Amino acid sequence: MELLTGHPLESSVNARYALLTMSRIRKLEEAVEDLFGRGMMHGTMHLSIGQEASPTGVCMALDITDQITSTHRGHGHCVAKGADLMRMVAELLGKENGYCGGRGGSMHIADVETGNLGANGIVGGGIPIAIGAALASKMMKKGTIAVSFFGDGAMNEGAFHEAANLAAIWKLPVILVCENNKYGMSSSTELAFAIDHLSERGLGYGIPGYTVDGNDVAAVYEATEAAVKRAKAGEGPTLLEFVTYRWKGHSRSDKNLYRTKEEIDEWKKKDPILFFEHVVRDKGLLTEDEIAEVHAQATSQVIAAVNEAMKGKPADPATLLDAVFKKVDS
Amino acid sequence: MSKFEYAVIMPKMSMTMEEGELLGIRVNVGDAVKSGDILFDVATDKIDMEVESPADGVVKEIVGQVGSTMLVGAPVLILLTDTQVMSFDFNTPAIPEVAEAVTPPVAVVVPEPEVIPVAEKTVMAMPKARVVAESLGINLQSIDPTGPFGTITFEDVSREDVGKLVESTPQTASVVEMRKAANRKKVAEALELTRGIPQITLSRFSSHTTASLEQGSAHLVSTWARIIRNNAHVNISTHDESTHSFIGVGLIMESKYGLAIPVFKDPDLSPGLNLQEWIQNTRVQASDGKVPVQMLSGATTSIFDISHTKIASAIPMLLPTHTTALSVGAPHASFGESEINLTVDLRYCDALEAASLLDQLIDAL
Amino acid sequence: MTDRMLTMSEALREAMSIAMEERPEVFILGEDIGIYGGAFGVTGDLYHRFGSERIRDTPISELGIVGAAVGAALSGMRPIVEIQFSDFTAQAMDQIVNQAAKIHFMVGGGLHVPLVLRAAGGSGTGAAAQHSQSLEGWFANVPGLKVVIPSSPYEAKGLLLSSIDDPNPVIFLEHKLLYKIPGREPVPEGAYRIPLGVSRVLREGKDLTVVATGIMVSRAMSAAEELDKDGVTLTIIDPRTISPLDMDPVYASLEKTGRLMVVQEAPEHGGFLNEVIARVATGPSLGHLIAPVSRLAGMNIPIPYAPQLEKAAVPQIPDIVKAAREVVANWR
Repeated sequence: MELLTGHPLESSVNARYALLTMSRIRKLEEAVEDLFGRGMMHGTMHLSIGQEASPTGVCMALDITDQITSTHRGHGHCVAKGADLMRMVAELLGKENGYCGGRGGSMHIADVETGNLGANGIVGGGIPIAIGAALASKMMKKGTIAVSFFGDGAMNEGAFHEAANLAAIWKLPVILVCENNKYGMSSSTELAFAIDHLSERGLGYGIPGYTVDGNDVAAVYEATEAAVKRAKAGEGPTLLEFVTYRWKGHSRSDKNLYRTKEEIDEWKKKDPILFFEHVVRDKGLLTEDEIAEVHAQATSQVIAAVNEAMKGKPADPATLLDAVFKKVDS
Repeated sequence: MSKFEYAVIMPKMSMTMEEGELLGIRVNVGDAVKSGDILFDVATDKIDMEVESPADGVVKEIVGQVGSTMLVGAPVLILLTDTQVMSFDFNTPAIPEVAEAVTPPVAVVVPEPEVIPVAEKTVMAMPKARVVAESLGINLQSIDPTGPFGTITFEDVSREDVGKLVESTPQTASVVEMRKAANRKKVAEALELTRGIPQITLSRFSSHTTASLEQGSAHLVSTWARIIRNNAHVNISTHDESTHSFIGVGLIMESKYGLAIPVFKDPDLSPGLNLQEWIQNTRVQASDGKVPVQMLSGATTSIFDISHTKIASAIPMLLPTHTTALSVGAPHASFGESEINLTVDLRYCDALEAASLLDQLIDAL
Repeated sequence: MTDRMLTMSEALREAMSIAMEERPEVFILGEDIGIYGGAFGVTGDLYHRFGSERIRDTPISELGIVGAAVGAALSGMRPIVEIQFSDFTAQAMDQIVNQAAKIHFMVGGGLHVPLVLRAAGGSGTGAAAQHSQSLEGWFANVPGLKVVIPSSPYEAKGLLLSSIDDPNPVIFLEHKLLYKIPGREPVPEGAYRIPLGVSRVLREGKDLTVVATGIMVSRAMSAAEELDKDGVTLTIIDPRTISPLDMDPVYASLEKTGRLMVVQEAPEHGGFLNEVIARVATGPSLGHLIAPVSRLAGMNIPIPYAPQLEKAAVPQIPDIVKAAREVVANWR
């Protein structure tokens, strides 16, 4: 899908794009959950249902040449940065035509053409890499920026601290995006942090930090847009904390013992998609019918992607050894 | 309002789950349900889980039986939902054959460890000493080791009468003659050992034809290997009566030092052209007096293929440890059929079984 | 032709200088590599020649700097990371092992990581247990990393230039004792490249094939000269890169000598050169062996401090002479 840059509420076109992106992410993840539930998907998967506003709002503030690093909960980032749904599903099904040729799966999914440097199975693993991408941009005067998506859990990894410091001392064009979904697997932010807002962590490194409603795609966009401006002006990194919530378990085998059904229900009321629908209806950007039509479009795109991906050839073990090293002359 | 039919299935909840027990169903047909309401409870060996409704709707039908164990993907109940729920039923799961089988945690009977008798006289020799001894036909048991731990060294083998001129010194005609003599002696000694074994030789004519020696040998070797594979009771090493886990076929061929019998392991599993190439390469190596060390043992049968000579037939003789031996003669000048002879060790295979083996072979050829 | 004798520090500096002149995307980052000139003086005056952007001093932050190098490599640069002591790679292991080594594979080939990580290793300087290890085995066990161990100034320059050219992550392990001593052979001026994955046969003998890495190559050469006097002659093979590993010269040599010895400084247990032994045991030369394989390696202990203890912990020239003599005398 063609990447659109701009404020989600700037026009009907933008509103439609934002809603469609969020809907595509949710429908894709529902499809993935169904496929996994039927035993058609290998391995495990981490769903970001309920968190769709963050990738959507952030990527609407980026150009296609800007780079991102993603996380194990990375389907949304991949979609929002412009990946093809069919090739994503093909990857999850272990097909040859999947984005990684079946070698990566859900945790390493990436469309490198859209500036995605990869989802990452290591908590915090992508943060120093984003700093390096920003360093390259600065040294090569590319004018692009890098965004590192990570969760609340990653903020207690050494990688976050080392990367944040390097980004600050070198004034790198990078945005550190913490999607605080309240739980690192089962550890709540209350258990894992002694501060109220994770954005306070920026202070110690000389990085401005902001806490934003992560379920409001417009607020996410605005915060990111400001950070992009700062980065491009050579003023260095920004730390953004988007407060959100994961509706589903950490992975499929999560029994939700560490949180209550009431808490989950409370957050479901703050559904970023429903919230955005209210806003665009109020502002007269989209009608009820247009909203329904966007969801129908997302649904049919996902169904078509799954059906098409199922036809792909399974990845061939005979090619495995060729994939470890890049050929010296290629 | 409820317009989409959706089957709620037994979900896969962990990387290894293949089935789950339906513990209980919390709704009845006709109940209105909200997204997130618990519909039923599932248990696996690892985890108990509540399964929620994916959308608002009405329970249309209950399919699963409480208390039963259901495969992943099997429908438990049918909902009519207000919004379309993502659902893909392709029947054939994409992954199962790849997923690792999980060994069920049942009681395992640990067999008493088998006492393996130590071979009476283990000969310790360095790899190169073995290779040289084998190619010269030297019995390692006859050599006094001088190496540490009583190991036969390369030098010990080279010191033997037949071997003292070998290796780095250029090979004169007399060295080749000496090796031939040693080889002849070795073969004769070996056949001497099997002469007293009760055996029978059967023959039949076969009308199969082959283009070249290699093609013919390859066809014969792989067909015979397949027959042996299907008749595992003759795939026995008579040395210790052990049944081999592979099929080893010795193919008698010419070498610089007389006849050699390289062993082809599982030749029937090697694609036709590969086997031809394998045999051809081995012939080249053998003609230079070098049979690869891994092809020196492991046969339970041998083949003497003289179909490309003028000799009509040869009675095959059992080699030590072999249970069967086969020979194929040249096609008859006028009616074109070849004589195939099969010799069997009667202690492991009676005459009727031998006839059946021969029939199977000729049918297959 | 030149008969310039350089130290390994000088040869490495020359290689990096050539690479930086050839390619604007090459830059170096590490701790104290700028005005200080590097903990072992390898970067020397490069800071004054190339400036602070390209000779980039970093905080003490190994995980951060290796990660930043990975990200820069993914985005069009060719970073050279200097880690002061290879022991500190433990701090950066996630970025080396889980990220740099695997990204090309994980994303299905669309990204690659042209990164060189130089690190000083080895004992002999009294730096004790946390500053003296030989860790090549760690890296060789990670598919996706190339592992280079230069054994002399000449090798270091040619191998480093090839490593910088390589589109994959290369771990380049330098022995501290080699930095300051001139090599046995001259180092040509200008650029020359030694391909990765080609072993070098330094000398040929009839009695024993010695495979040695890093500083053990020169120790084995000295031992061979000593043994020449007794008429015992050694073939010495330096694999140069242990990933990929070129075994062909070893197989060819064993046909002539029938005896194999491996010499490494890293501890014996689980050491990389055991792989050489395994390949011989499972490969085409087994039938040529007339002697059991000998193995000289570091003791299975952390590197100790006191000089006499430190020396005793890893193979020295007399150890190689003695072991070679024994294996040739006992097995004929």
